[in-house]
Amino acid sequence: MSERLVMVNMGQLAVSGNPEAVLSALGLGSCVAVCAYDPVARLGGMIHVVLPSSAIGRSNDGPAKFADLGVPRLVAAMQKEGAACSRLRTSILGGANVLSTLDHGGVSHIGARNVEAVRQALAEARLTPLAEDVGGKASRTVRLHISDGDIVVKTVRAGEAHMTSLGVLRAQ
Amino acid sequence: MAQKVETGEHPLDVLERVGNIGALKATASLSALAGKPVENSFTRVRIVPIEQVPNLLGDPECVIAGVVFEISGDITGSFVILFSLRDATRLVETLTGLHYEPEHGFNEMGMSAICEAGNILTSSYLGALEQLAGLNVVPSPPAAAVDMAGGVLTSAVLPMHEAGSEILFIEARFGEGEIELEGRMILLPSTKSLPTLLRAVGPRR
Repeated sequence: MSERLVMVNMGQLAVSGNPEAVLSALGLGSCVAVCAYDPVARLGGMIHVVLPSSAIGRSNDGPAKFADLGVPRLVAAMQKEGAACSRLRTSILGGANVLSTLDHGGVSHIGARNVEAVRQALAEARLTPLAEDVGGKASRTVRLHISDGDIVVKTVRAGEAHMTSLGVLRAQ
Repeated sequence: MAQKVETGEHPLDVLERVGNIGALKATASLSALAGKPVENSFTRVRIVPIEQVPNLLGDPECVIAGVVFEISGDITGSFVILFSLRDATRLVETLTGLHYEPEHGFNEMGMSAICEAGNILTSSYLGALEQLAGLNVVPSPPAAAVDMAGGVLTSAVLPMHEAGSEILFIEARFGEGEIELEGRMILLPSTKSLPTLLRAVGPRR
């Protein structure tokens, strides 16, 4: 089957039911990709979160720039396309601390804050992530295959690796 | 003593010129360190939406060697030096006299050579900024990474621009000398430092 890469850039949200589509977020440092998949509807979605809180947001920001707004928008967009909230499987990836020796003025690094904010927003939507690949020092590229819900992660050191599948039907 | 720049120019053009002089000084120091000429090719100032940061150099997955400094003092922000993996390898080999295979990354000595090159470029550049614009700017210790360009760039930019939607960056490309070393130096003033920076390079009152 031919693949069609759909780029999910900073602050963007994408939902697809096209089995050829592969939702892709490239070179995530402190940013976080949240993947959601409905294995019955074969529908997948991804957001590329940049910052934890919309308290500092502006009207022209991307729909998923902030974790607190992006997660509910992802869930709503999935439901609008026919996904059932009860069937949604989610995964969190990214949030690395690439420049780990900088102290960022003593504030904890953005990656960790992004991951925490995404976890909280998912909990508020009554969703528990099936799998996480977060933190560390290495940037990640994340791909979600709509055909089967497979998530593939790429880092410089480890290359490409299958991380999990959100499409396998089993008790969570 | 600070030499103020001429009046009547657009502030961004002045910034470009100041950046260019900073870059010239920096590459002169790198030439001295490497014992070979390194030339400056161009400097430009760009204002881009923050969403485009991962793509500033093209492919966000492209593997680069980056040295990043947080800067503080009269202005805050970050100073970023980037080399392609191939050119970082050439630089490290020139500085250490050892042979490296780029796909295996660098050992501690290699990373510290990259940081040292970064230190020298940065202190020359910031020294020029002080001379030309009267701005006293101090760099943090360096943070170096061999990683995807997108991850390095966003990690350098985001901490300083959480509240901003656009960033101004002053990019200098150097290379094309005998050493055939190409790199980029990028000054990323924080959003809140922009008025200070523009005032410093602005018309004399």
